[in-house]
Order: sequence, then structure tokens, then C-alpha cells
Amino acid sequence: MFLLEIIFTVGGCALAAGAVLILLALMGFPPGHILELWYRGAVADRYALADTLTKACPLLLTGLAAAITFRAGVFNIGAQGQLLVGAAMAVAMSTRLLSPHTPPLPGITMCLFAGAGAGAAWGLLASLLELWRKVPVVLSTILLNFTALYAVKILLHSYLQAHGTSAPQSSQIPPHFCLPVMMKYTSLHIGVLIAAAVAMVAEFVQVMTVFGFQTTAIGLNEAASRLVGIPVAARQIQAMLIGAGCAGLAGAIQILGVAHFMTAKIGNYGYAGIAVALLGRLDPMGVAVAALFFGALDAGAQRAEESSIGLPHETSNIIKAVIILAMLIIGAWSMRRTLRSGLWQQRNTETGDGA
Amino acid sequence: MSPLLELIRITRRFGNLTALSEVSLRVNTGEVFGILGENGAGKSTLMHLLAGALQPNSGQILLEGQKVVISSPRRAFELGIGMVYQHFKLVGTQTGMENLALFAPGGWWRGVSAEVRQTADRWRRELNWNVEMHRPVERLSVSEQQRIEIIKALSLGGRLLILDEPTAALTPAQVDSLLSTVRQLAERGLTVLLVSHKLAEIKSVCDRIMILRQGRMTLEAAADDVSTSEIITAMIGKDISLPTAARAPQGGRSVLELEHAEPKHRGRHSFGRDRSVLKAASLRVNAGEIAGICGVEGSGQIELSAILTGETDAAGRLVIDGIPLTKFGARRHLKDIGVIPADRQKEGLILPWSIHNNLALKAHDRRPFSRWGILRRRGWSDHHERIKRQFDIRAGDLRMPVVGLSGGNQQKVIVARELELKPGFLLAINPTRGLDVGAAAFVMQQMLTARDGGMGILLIHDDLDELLRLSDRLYVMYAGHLYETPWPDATRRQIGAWMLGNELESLRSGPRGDDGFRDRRNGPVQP
Amino acid sequence: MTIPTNSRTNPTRQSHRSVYPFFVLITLAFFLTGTPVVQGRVFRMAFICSGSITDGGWNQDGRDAAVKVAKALHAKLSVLEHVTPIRATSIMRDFCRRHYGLIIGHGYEFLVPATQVARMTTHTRFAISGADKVEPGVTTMNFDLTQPSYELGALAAMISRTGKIGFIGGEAIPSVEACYKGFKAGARAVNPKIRVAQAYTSWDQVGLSKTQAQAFIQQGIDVIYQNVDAASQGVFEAVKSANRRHPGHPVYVFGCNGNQNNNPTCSRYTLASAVIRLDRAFMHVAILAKAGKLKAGVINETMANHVCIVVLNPKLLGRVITPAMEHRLVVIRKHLLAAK
Repeated sequence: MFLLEIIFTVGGCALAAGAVLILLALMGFPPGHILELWYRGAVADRYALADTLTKACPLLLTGLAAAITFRAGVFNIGAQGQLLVGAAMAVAMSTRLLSPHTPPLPGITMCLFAGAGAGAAWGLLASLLELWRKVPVVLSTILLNFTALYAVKILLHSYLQAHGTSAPQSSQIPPHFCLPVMMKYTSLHIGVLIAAAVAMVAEFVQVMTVFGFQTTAIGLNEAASRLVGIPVAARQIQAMLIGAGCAGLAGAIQILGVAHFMTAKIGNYGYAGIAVALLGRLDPMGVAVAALFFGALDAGAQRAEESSIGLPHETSNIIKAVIILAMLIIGAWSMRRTLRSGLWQQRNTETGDGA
Repeated sequence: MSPLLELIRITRRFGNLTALSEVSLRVNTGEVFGILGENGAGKSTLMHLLAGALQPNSGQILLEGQKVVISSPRRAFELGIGMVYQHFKLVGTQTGMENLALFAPGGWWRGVSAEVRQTADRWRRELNWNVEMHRPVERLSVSEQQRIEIIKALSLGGRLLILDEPTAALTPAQVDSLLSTVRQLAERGLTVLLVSHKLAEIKSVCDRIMILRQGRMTLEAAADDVSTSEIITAMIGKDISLPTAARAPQGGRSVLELEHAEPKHRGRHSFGRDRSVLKAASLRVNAGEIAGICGVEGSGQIELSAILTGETDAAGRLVIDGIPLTKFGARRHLKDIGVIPADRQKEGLILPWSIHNNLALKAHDRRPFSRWGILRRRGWSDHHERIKRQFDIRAGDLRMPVVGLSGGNQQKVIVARELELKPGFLLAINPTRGLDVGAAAFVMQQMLTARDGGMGILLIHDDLDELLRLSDRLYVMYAGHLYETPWPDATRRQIGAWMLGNELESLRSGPRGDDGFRDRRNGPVQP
Repeated sequence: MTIPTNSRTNPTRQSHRSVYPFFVLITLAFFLTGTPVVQGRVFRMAFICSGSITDGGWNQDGRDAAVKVAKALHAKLSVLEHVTPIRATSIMRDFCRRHYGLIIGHGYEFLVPATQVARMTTHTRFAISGADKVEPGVTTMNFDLTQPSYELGALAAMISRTGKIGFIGGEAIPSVEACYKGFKAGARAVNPKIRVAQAYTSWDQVGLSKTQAQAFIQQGIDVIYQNVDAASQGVFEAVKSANRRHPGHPVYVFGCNGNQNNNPTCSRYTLASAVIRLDRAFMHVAILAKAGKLKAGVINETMANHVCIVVLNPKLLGRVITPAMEHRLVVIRKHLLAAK
């Protein structure tokens, strides 16, 4: 059953990529050459792999942010806003709040925790709005994304703005607060390891703990979970805190690990995370695989874009979109299949031979 | 008399399962024909075949001696076959008339045409029904909705009317009225196919009956010629004696006390919902007894259970197991009480999850099923295997999704989960609804065993027979008020009257004082 | 919302194990694959920009200029669009590793990434356009539209009948604010009483800039200077419809960055454009970089070295822009150049 699902998922991705390749071939881009460039950009050598890993890192964390909350029945579309707030908090911490004489280890730790905490607080806002005023989380998180964007823009014009410029960008992070890079000429920072560790912990929590059991139950059937005494609101808020914290951490890691300064243009990792979570079937390990896949897509697309054939920048996004469509279709289809097979079994047991 | 409908050796298979095997039957014009059978016996398959939702693998369907292929529900309408499902197929936000127009022969886009209105009015006059046709269906009562469904089926040119479990949601008075309507229709030359598992009704109204068991016809006879025990034997193969409650010892400590509880409606919460009917409900359940609540549907049962499960905030006082709940709606007590919810699929189970997980849903965060917040699944297997044997859950593998179980086994999973922790108080709402006789008897027996073990049970049930059989004490709910009855010193006729709001002066609202509880069996209570 | 729920049906440990080999494979691949060899002696240059290379403005002009330069120098050119500052760092690092000779970062936001990457390389040169700060190891091209804007401001003050003119910028960044300052100063020089409004919208939201332009026009502003790149379409449309509605009260607009005098929407009401001749500027740095002579520091690209200039719309010459105005502009330009 599970294997079948993997095969369908991988097959769906391949089909989607194939469809887009055919489209590109019709537009006059040689598909063989594109594939070769893709391979060289994403997996061919250790630099390419490092690029893939670096690009997968924020996607993994925002994917977890979506997966953890979706699983608990909280439709947190606000990873983007939480990421922005987390990034801004990390910048504030490293360039303004912490003394530049703080040693690197405690400094970096505090920055990362501050980013995660700020993201969590931003998510909590949406949860509390739902708790107190019954504002749907879907709505409030989307709107808070924009609130976060413009709040960060204001901050970048004021408190966080680099000295001696009027451009809306922050000061540079002091070098000793930047995440150490593990490979020269790449951005492969230790944040990748942190993200991987977070994914593993998330997996453990989901499979092995009461918390994971309860949040999954809530996501599948809130009414039943409530009636057996699971504290639904509390679990949903906790899931939101953890998920939003992951998104905030993603922002902090991107700033401390890759960019080392901040502008409001931080990339749509928050929205991409939703796609990653769906592709990974809301399962932390699945999310990890999906994030790597999307990271490889981006890395390969970048190589194909910069090359002489000049593949359009949107290609990888189109592939991602087609994949998500394919996944939704497959998901609906296999759900129907499950239900139908369930009905058969029902008849079986009722005619007496089910035992 | 030539048969209106004739089925010849109809077989329908699903995969390697044969749902119907060579079933033949003849239904004459103007006849009321009853089809009986347990869940999964093939009743619904047969109906779906007639309604055009399914096609037979082999066999023939003859309508007035001519072979027909009922290729779609629309084709069934054209042939004059009207179907009323147990769960009505009405658009809730539209009025009755608009619902009729949706299926009008001319097409829905004509809207409520004069033709539709005339047909509907004709049937309303003939049946002497005063159904409100110009209000959104969802605001009508269940019986009114059913009447609209029947009018819909008839006005589509019905020659053959199929009713699926028509009395499931009705009060006794409404059942009587419906059954007399059915007879009336039959006398007018209409043919009615009645599918039910309520033996008494079938016997009283049907001319002939057919019994299905495991896809085969086991009995076909005139209704007057067979005895109840013969029917039961044909249905389930063996004679099931329904359990009768042995009266529990009285006067235990109270496990539930409810005083003057009613929903606390704030403006934004009551918007768009029916206004609550429940008013200042007071009741009390003692350890080791089953307190039943009977009442016509919509008398406030839903609000009462919502208060007890903390779904709605409430004013009043609620004491469970001696601990007063300071804030209603806090739901913390749900861990310590048992709840068998009304809708097992929507509120009781997590359908895609395994039986294991569903069984563990309540106990998973206690030792030994978890420790320090980490699940200890290894310990689950033995425990659940034991539960499975004890509660006779028929499933091959506990890892399979609970959605694959039959209704009865799903209910057993819930009952097992809720009873196994031995809570002091159990709230059971329609615990046997939709179950076949065997499963229902098993569930009832389990509740009696739990009661004898000292559990206090509040039973809100539609089925008056079962309710009376199980209850040690009985409340009647009418128009939002709770009245305690002197049951078992009351007759069924009296209870029926109370449920319909008659002679309520002889009862007093709310529980009597402690003395009343102690003394209730010693004689009728003075008003 | 539909969420695929199937894998949630069996939250048992077993089901997850099947993806673990995948991670092992990735790790192995990481250590087994080799380091690529960069071959060839051809001069490589890269052009990265933060917007779309089809925006009909700043980014597209930059890309076109880079392509022109690469062709002239027989260089291999890599173009990346939609580059966020976060991506920029790793992209630049990758280009360094592959021995690119010149990286043109088309926008002030690439200055910090370039500064960081410049520390680790000696053979790659960085040229950042639109920035005015001095950073070690980076050449910045400071396109100063102040003088052309001054000239446009003077022209606007001469043309305006209402005594109100307006400026719309895409974002309040130094280079854009410089345009406003020059514009205002130029207008005040001609008409000290003139009122100059300013507003900042967005680089790519056409609707936003259109609304803003309409608001300006309603306030009686009849000459608009816009620096909003792709969103300029919105301004043009607002001007076009205003002129159609009230033909007696013409509203004029200025182009910026690229030569927008021939825009298809309202070229009859586009007086002139403040043009940055990016090809000239890029060619200058590319030749130096290829020869290994590009120095870090700020290159001020102004009117003096013919990079930032004003191009009047020939269609309006003699009709709206009278010879007298033209003559006065020439005088102003001479003064500007002399002041430098």
C-alpha cells in the first residue's frame, strides 16, 4: 500500500516533469540538453549536491511548518509571514540586540531561537484570533503574511536599516554570527544539519509520541478527538507554535547561513513549503524527500537558466505546479480507491467471513 | 392479477463477493411488499438495482411483463419507480417546491413551474398532508422532510414507491400515520416496496414479505402466514432472544448531577442555528443504573448531549463523579467519562485509522499505553487482541483501517473503547442505531454488564422498545423540558402520551429529591 | 481544501523506513562524486537581476546591454533573473568557483552579497549597478539620474499649466530618491512656486501605479515623472485615459531608465525620457575586467560620461516642446555640466 503510494508519487513527478519537457521541446529548447544541464546543476558533483542541499534547507523547514500544522487540522498558510518575521528577528538579534562581543556559539544559538520564537509568536497570533474571535486560520495567516511583509519593510527602513544608506536593507550580520560554511565556494552551512535534525525530531514526535498521535487524530476527525477527551484547542495551538517556529527558524537560518543581511525580498519559501508538504504527504520524512526534490529542481533550473540556452526562469515553478496538480489528482483518486476497497471489506465482514 | 414488477434470477457481484445471488420475486400491483434483512444481506443492493444506481451482473427485470434496463436513476424515474432513501436526498437550503422542481420531467431549469406546483398540490390533497412546501427543507422536521421526499417520488409519476427504512427517524405517532398512508396508497393502486428491519411494522402493513440473508432469498410469504420467530429465524439463522434488563440494585452514589442546565447562547454563536429548545434541564444518574431519556426527535436531546460533552457552553450546575465542573465547555471531564456518540462515523471513529489506533484513542495517554509522552505500541497488541475477543469485534487484522469494518463492528470498537476504561459515567446516544439484531443485542448486553459493574449510564435513544428494556429509570423529554417518569410503574401508553406532550401535569419537571430517588419503586409518585 | 491523507492512515514506524535508503544514497553520492574541472579560457561573465528580464525597463535594459557587451567581447554570458539577495550569495560563489571573470549585479541589493563573496576570490570581478557605496573588492556603478532629472524637472515646470507636477517611484531607494530630488530642484529653478508631489508604489504592480497616477491627475497634476519600471504601463494608461477624457487639459509623462518615448500606450504624451545607457557603462567595466584592470570603487555614471542622458521625444519637438524651451534646456544642461 505504502510502496504503491511512493510509486505513484514518483511516477506523478516524472510524468509532470516529462510533460513540461515536451512543452519546452515544442518551444524549441532541446530536452536532452536541458536534462543534462539539470543533472549537472543538481546532482553531478559535490558542488551541485551542496547547492541542492542548500536550496532544500529552507524548503524542508517551511514544508515541516505546513505539514505539522496541516496534520493537526490547522491550515496555516502563513509560513511566509512567519519566515519573514523570524528572519527579521534574527537580524535584529545579531545586529542590534546582541553585543558584538558575544561568543559565536551562544550568539548563533540565541539568534536561531529568537527567529524561531518570533515565527511562533506570529503564528500564535492567528491561533489566538481563532480561539477568541473565531477568525479562520486560513484567512488570518494569509493576511498576516502581508502584514509581516510590510512590517518588515518598515523595519528595514528604520530600526534594522544599515547605517549610511537609505536603501531598505539591513546591516550585515557580523561574520562570527554567521552559520559556518562547510564547503568552500558553496553556501552549504550547518543550518542544513539543523534542518535535518528538526525533521528527524518531527518524525519521532509524529510516530512515537502522544502529541503526534493526538494531533494526527485531530486532523483526521476533530469531533471524534474532542469526544475522547483530546484537548483539541491546546494541541492545535501547540502544533501552530511548533510549525510557525519551524518557519521562523527557516527565515533565521536563511539570513544567518546564506544571505548574511536582509531585504524584504526573501523568496517565496513559505508558499513553496505548502507544496513541499503536500508532495511529502504531510509526513516529515516525506517532506524531507520532497524538499530535496524541489531543491534539486531549483538547482538544476538555475543551471539551465544561466546556460546558453537560457531556459525561462519560470520553468521549475511550472514543473512544481504541474507536480502538485498531479499529486492532488492522484490523492483524490487513491482516496476513492481506499474507500471503495473499504466498502468491499465491509460487505465481506458482514456476510460472516470477515473474521 | 399480472405482476407489476418481476425480478428473474438477479445476481450482482462486487469483486469476488456476491451481494445478490439469483434473487427472484414478483410484486403485484397495489401490493405492499416488505423486504427484510440484516445489514449487508443485500437489501440496499437490491434497491439500488431498482433505482438505477447499479446494474445486475445477470438476470432480468420485468416491468408489467416487459423487459427493462434501468440504466440510471433518471431512467428509473421515467419508468415510474420512485425511491425514498433513508438519508434524504434533498437540497437543504432550497424549499420543498424547489426540490421537486429539481427533478421535474421538463428539467430543473424551468424552476417551480405551474405543473410542478399542481402535481405537488394534488398529492398533498390526496394524502391529506399539510406540508410546508415554501420553507427551506433544512428548517423542517425529519418527518416533514420525509413527506416531501415521498411527494417527490410520487409526483415523478410513481407507480412503484420504494421506501428505505422509512420509520427509522419517526416517533410512534408519526410511524402510525406513515403506515396508514402506505396502506392508503396501496388501496389507490400504487405499489409500495418497504425495506425495514422493524418486524412489527412490516408485519402490520405488508401484504407479502421477502427475507434476504447473505444475498439469498430465505423466505417469501404472505405476511399473515408467518410468525415473528419464523421471520427472525429466516433473517439471522438462529433465534435471538433480546436481553431483558435485570433491575440493578438501587441507591448508588450519583455519578452525574445536572441542575438547571441550558445552553448559554451568545449572539454570534446562535446565528444561523435553530434556537435552543432545552430549558433548565435537571437530572441525575446514579452509579449502577441506566437512566433513559425518551422523547420525540428535536425535543432537546441534541442540546442536552452537547452540554454534557462540553460542546456548548451552558449555564447551570454540572457535577460528574462528585466533581463540579466550574466552567461548562471546558471538556476536561471527557477523559473521565465514556461517550457513545450518535454518529459513530463522524464523531466516534477516525475512519482511515487502524482498529488499533481507534481502540487506543481514549487510553493512549495513560500508562501502560504510553509513558513520558511516548507511545508504547508494543503493549497495545495483546491488550487489543483481548478486547477484540471480549467484544467480539470481527476483523482479520487490527492494523486494518476501521473504515473497512461493518457498522456493527465499528460500533463495537467504540463500545469497547469507552467501556474498557470502566468510567463512572457513560453517555450513550442511540447506541444501536442502524445495527442488525445480533450486534444490537450484543451492544445492549455490554451496557447491562457495565451497569451491573457499577457504571451509571445515561441513555438517549430513539428506539423506545430498547430504551424501555434497558432503563432502570426513565425521563421524558418534551419541548425542551425534562420530566421524570415513574417507570417501571408506568405503561407504554402513558409514556407515549407524555412524549407527545399529553398528561404531563402528572409529572414534575426535574429530578425529585433524594427521597424520591430512594422511593421511586415503592409506589407511584404523587404530583 | 483537499489534502492527500493516505499516508496518514497507517502512522506506524514501518512505513517510513522505506525512504531511509534514499537519504543514505544522497550522503554516499556526496562523498563519491568528484570535483568538477573548469576548462576553457573563454572570458565568462554573468548578469543577475532581481526582477524579470521582460519587464520592459531596468532589468530588461540591463540584460540587453549585457548581451550586447558579451557579443562584442566574444564572452560567454550567463543571465539569471528573479534573483533574491539570499540566492545571490550562493549564485556568486558558484560563479567564482567556475572562474567567471565578471559578475554584474544589476541592483543595489547585490552589493552586500558581492562584498561577501569578493573576499574569497581574486580572479572574479564584481560590478554592481545602482549602488553608491564603496565596498572592498567591488566596483559599483552609481547611475546618477540627478542631472537628467533636473533637466526633466525644468522641462516639466515649463510645460505645466497648473503649476503642479508629480513623481512616482517604485521604491524609496537612494537612486530613485535622487531622481525626485533632481526633478524637484530643476522644476524650482524654473518656477519657484511649483508644487512637486511624490509617491512610491511598486516596481511591478501595474494597477497600483495606475491608481497613483490617477490620483495625481485628479489633484491637478499635469506632468508626471515616473520611475517604476514594469509598472510604468499603469502610469501610461492613466495618462492616456486622462487625455482622452479631457483633451483640452493635456497631461504629460516622462520615461525613465530606458528610452520610453516610443511606448505604444501614450507616446504622444511622453515628453522625454531620462535614459541610462547601460550598454556604455557595462562595456566600460567589461573591457577593464577582461584586461584584469577593473579596480574596486565607485564609478559615477553621469551626464558627463554620456551614460545618463535626456532623450526628448522627437514627435513632440516643435509642437509641445517649443524651440524656445529646447534652447533653454540646452543652457541648463551646459550649466549642469559646468558645475560638475
